Amino acid sequence: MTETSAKIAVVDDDPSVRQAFVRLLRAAGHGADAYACAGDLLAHPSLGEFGCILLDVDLPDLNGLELQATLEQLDYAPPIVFITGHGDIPMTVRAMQAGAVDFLTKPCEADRILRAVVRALQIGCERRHQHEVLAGERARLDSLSPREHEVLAGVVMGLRNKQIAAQLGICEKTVKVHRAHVMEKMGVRSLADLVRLAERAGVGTETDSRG
Amino acid sequence: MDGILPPALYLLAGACLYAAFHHAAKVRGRPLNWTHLWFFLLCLMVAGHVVAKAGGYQAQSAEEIVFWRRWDTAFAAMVFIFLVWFVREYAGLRSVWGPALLSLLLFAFVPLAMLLPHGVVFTELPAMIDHTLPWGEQVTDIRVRPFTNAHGAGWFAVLMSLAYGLYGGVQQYRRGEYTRARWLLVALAVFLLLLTINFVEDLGLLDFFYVGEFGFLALVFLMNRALELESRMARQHMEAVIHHVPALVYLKDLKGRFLLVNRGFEDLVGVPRPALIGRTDDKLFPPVDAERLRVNDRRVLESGHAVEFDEMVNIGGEALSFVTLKFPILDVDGRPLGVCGISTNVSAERELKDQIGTLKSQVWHADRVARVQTLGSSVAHELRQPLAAILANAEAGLHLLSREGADPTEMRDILQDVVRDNRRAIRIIEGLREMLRQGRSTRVRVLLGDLVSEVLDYLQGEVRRRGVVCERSLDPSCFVVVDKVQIGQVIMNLAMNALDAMEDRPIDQRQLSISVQPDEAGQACLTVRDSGSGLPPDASERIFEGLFSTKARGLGMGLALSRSIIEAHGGRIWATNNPEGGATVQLVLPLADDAVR
Repeated sequence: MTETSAKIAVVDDDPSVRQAFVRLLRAAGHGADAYACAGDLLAHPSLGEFGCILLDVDLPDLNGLELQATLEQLDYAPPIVFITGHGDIPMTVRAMQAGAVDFLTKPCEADRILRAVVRALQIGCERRHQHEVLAGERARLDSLSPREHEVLAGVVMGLRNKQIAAQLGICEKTVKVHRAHVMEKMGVRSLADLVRLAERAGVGTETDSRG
Repeated sequence: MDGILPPALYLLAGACLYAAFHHAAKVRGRPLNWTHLWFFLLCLMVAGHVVAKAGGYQAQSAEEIVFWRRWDTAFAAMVFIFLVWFVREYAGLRSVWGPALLSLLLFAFVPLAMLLPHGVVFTELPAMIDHTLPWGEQVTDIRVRPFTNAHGAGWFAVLMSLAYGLYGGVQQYRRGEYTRARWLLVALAVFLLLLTINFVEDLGLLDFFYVGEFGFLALVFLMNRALELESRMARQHMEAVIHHVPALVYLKDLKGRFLLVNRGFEDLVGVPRPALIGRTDDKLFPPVDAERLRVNDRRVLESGHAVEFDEMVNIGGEALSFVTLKFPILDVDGRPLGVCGISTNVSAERELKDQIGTLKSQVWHADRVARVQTLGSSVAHELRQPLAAILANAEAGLHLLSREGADPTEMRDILQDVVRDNRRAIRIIEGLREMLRQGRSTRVRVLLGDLVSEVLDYLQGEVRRRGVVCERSLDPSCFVVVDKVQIGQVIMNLAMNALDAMEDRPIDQRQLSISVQPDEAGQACLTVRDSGSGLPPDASERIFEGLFSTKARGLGMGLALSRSIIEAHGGRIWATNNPEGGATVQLVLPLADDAVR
């Protein structure tokens, strides 16, 4: 349970409910912050630091489902556990289809809330991990020079050095040097790793669209 | 003396007498009008005149001739008097002076003929003058000679009365009563023709026989025929009207036998008219219905005037509702002859009205259910918040306690929050009760009796279906300020309870009476009294508590809701058992302010 270090955002317009949830989560050993409405939460500078969100559907400004849609558009969205006073089936279905971890009804046993939160934190942790990996790869890809990019594109397409050289109008030896630089900068050992990484970071599609 | 003229005249007199009595018989049992009376008297006088005439022809001595001649003249004067008045009535003339003057003039001849020296003329007759009739018969001439001034005046009066008759006929013709006018004019023309011949003979200008009497016969015969035709026409018109009236029309004698039914009746019952005449209700309808109809008939006969009833009859397995007006038919002396009924089939309207009533009561019920549901769900939602908070707080507390070294400050905070949220939940529940008590109701000033009528109208079908006799006495001054829907629900509730309570009573013992009147404390008092099974002992208070019901299918919510509504209106409701069986539910509501003033 190393993930519990991530904070949980509690969004509920009812102050005593909000307070009680925060207290419960803290008692269970989670970090938790309370927000009275969607606006307050969205105003937070780095939403990414939240492990998950415990969200009421009825909020004074944005409805919980709308907030969920807004968060989806971010790079990284913390997973959401809904908890509501009067949920109906269509609402539940919508929330679950949009990727909510759970949909709870007030009043709800602490056990269920905590279990849902833990699951959400795990999912959040995985998501963040993936997000971080991807971000690292992106950063490395960005550090390549334009020429190295072109060479990488050729490699990913499965061209030989000679063909790349002919395409770029440079000599084969230079291509080899660029390729070695790319391998080094991307931190991979084998050609297969390079191709997989480049594909994940979207280099392949980039070349496709170009040619 | 064994000729044929006097017997012929007796025959004529007999015919006139017959006409008079025939006419009288026709008129019997119908309202007598003056036309009938005058015509009857006219006929009698003609008969008398003709008898006197015949007597004169058979006279053996001058004294006898004088005797008969006097009666002859007196009767003739009377005939013309009655002719004038008959014409006036028959032709519908309005003036009284003309006929009155003529009558006076003519009447002067009655004593003149009977007493005055008029007879001297006869005594001076040297001998009886015989006259040979065209067919060879010899009769005594009874004409008066010589022609005196009295004669002249008499003829003048006769001609005037005939002229008046012609005038009446013409007037009638101009008014468009062609048939009547034609009969009158034809009769008068024949009469006048014969009289003219008489007159001419009298003057000695023509030597023919004196037969004016046959003119009377023509008059009497034609007029009798006219009157008879008229009464037959009137009957035909009446029958046509009766048969084509869309309602059922029938006439029953005192024993309930049908004397007359119209086509509508025949069609509905499905029995041809001739077969219906003489039958009674119990041959046509189920015994229960027939008995009910007879009861109504008897009530009409006892009351002696027209009464309107709501009647229900099973015909061909179908229960039909009628609005019936019944009235007694009286004979000339004012004794009842029978009952006439005019029934309108209102089954379709009734059914429609019943359906509307049922729908309305269903809507009322649905509305009540919906209100409770809405309230329930909104309350449930409101309660979820504090409950969620309490639960979460309590569990957080438990978590903290399970750890080593729990912070007492935090524990206190938690418990304080639990208490606060608990109070909040209580407030919500209090609010709900308040809402139920006052509701979001709109109160208006309304006549309590009107509300009762409205509800009873909805329930009319139910009341009828269950055979309940419903009495209402609604004071027209009890204004109250209430939520119409809520109080309507209460009234409907009470009425339905009363109807349900009478379900197992025999059909003739189901009585519901609803009254509204101000009580001595200045409140409007509504009383619903039934003849049902009454309340079980010690239940009179418990029935107003929720979830207590004396009915097999009851929820036990009706009276509880009623009580909360009535109390929210500042009133009171209670129930008692009647000493003679059944229960009475009473409620009081404060009167509207301006009604107290």
